[in-house]
Amino acid sequence: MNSKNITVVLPVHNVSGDFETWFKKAVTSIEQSKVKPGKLMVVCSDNSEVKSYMDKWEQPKDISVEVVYNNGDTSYCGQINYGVELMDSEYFSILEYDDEYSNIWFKQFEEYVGHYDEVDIFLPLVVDTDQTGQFIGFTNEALWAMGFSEETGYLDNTTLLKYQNFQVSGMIMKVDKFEEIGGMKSSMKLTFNYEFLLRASYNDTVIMAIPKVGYKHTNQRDNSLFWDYKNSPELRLEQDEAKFWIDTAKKEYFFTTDREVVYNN
Amino acid sequence: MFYLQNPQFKWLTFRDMRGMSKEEFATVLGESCLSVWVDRISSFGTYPLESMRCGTPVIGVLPTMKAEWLTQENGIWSQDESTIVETIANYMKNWLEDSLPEQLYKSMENACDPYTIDKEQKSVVTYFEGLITEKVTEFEASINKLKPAEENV
Repeated sequence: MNSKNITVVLPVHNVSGDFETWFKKAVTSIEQSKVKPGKLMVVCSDNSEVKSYMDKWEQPKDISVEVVYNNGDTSYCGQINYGVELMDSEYFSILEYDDEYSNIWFKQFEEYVGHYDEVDIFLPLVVDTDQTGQFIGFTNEALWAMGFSEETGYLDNTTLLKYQNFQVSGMIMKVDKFEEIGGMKSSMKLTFNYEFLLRASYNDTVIMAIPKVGYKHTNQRDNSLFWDYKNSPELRLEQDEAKFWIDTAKKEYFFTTDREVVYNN
Repeated sequence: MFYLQNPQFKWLTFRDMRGMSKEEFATVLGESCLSVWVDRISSFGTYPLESMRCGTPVIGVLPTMKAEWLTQENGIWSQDESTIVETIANYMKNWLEDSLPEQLYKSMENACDPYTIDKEQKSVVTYFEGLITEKVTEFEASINKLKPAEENV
């Protein structure tokens, strides 16, 4: 069974290192879904190495795949925005190449959207693992703790101002709403997830977490962007910098356009 | 104890179901993903049955006297209270992954089936109607015995 209403965006920035191993696992997780999305859109950086890989890649047969190339802003946020602009489905979801969907996620979405059609963003319960697959913890689960947010299961602006740790990868969102609030902001470096959710909730986006495991997120994978922010000698962020990006997100979410962030050391 | 052994589930909320109004009781039960029943004394307690009726599976300790509706399949039953914490954690993992057996839900439905309000009402009405008929017949028979012999001919 396919859920024609959903396009999955999978951004690919480069294909070096162990990309292939992770990428295959990510695509397999869609193939193994009980309900499959209507389309997988692989948004690639427009360079010869990526093109060469994609030309040789054996696409899965039982899901519709579209490979598109972006020669503009190829940051993670830029790739998502580019993909969403091209799609014609009602909903989209984000899959990082080193993550996986659980096989029940799109099935759960189909069940919940039937009861909660006012919801614009359905967040999954995310299982965070290390790169060996070892369980670390859940993300987005706190929304189901009694008294955590204004309404159990929903994420609101007031709650976001107090807590920052929510995951948007794996979410299923209405395309119209994403475009209305201005997409994702590349300038937000460390806190693009957070700023996006703040802006969404500020603009009356209804955000709900489905209390089922929908997404497996590989945390702190070697050489991932966030690993670099934590460990790389060149890119490591100090405590003050992390605070700067949180504060910046709290200031920028009032604006739907992505503005340049002036960052002085 | 549960949170100490399973910190990954510290976001789960447990509610004490005692002292709630009927309406609140039904709402909370219907919205829950699990009921826990550790009452060994009231063998005729209806809480698990009410939970099953709301579609919420029960983890429980088997009572000393087994109720007629209780089967091995319609709940997750244990003899030993000390295993309950681990059982809840395992259940939650399966619930979050939507991998609980269909058979559990079917057995819950079957267990509740005889106890609908309609069926209960009919059964009570039938019982009292039978009782009245029996008493009336007995009364008429006694009256007849008191009548003069010729009237009984």
